[in-house]
Amino acid sequence: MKRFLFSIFTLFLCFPSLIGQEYFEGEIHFVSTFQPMAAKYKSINFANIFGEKSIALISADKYLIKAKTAGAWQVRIFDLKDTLIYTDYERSDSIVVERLDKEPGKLLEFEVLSEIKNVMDKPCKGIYMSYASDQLDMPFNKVNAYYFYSDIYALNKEAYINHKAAHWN
Amino acid sequence: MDQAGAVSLYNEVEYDPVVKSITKATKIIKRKIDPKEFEIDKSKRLVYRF
Repeated sequence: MKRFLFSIFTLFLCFPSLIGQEYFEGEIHFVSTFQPMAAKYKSINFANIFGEKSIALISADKYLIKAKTAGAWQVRIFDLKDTLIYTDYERSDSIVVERLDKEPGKLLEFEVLSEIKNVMDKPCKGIYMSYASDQLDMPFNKVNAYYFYSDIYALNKEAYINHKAAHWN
Repeated sequence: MDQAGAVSLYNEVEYDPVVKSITKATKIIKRKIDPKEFEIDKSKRLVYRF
C-alpha cells in the first residue's frame, strides 16, 4: 500500500498537469544593458534611468519590478485584477498610478519565432512584436521587442487578458 | 510575462530611435509571495495619471 501511495505521489510530482496547471510564483533577478541607437543619445546614462539590475516578484494576480535607478529604488506594482500600475520612487513623496488596460499604441507586427535561445541552460521559445507608441511624454515613437520564454515558468493567460500595456494581453 | 503565457527570461527591446535594452534573467527562485510584498506605501499620496 505504501509503495502504491508513493507511486501516485511521484506521478503527480513529475506531472503536475495531472492535478491542474501549475503557474509560476516567485522571484526573478535580471541584469540589463543599454545601447544608444543614435549618436545624440550616447551621452545619456540609460543604466541610471532604467536600472542595470532588477528583481521581479510574480504571483497569480500581481507582479512587481524593483530596479535601482541613479542610486535610488524604483518599484512598479502591476495589479492585474484592478488593472492599475503603481510607480513608487524611493525619494518621492507620491506614487504615480496609471492604467494597465490602456494600449501604448497600435500593434504593427506579431510573430512567433522559430529560433530557440538558451537562457540559464533552459531552451526558450521566442516571439517578436512591434508597436507604434502614442505616448507623447516618451521620446520614442516605435517599440520593437523580442521576448524569449520558457514554458517551465508558465503564467495564467486569463489573468493577463486586460494587460494592454506593452501589448501583453 | 508576455503573450506567450510564460515569464520572459530574455528580451531585447528597441525604443526606436532612442535606445535598445537587453535584459537577461540571472537567478530564479520559486517561492510563495506574501501579499504584503505588494503593499504600497500608505504614507505617500497617490497621483492618478488618467
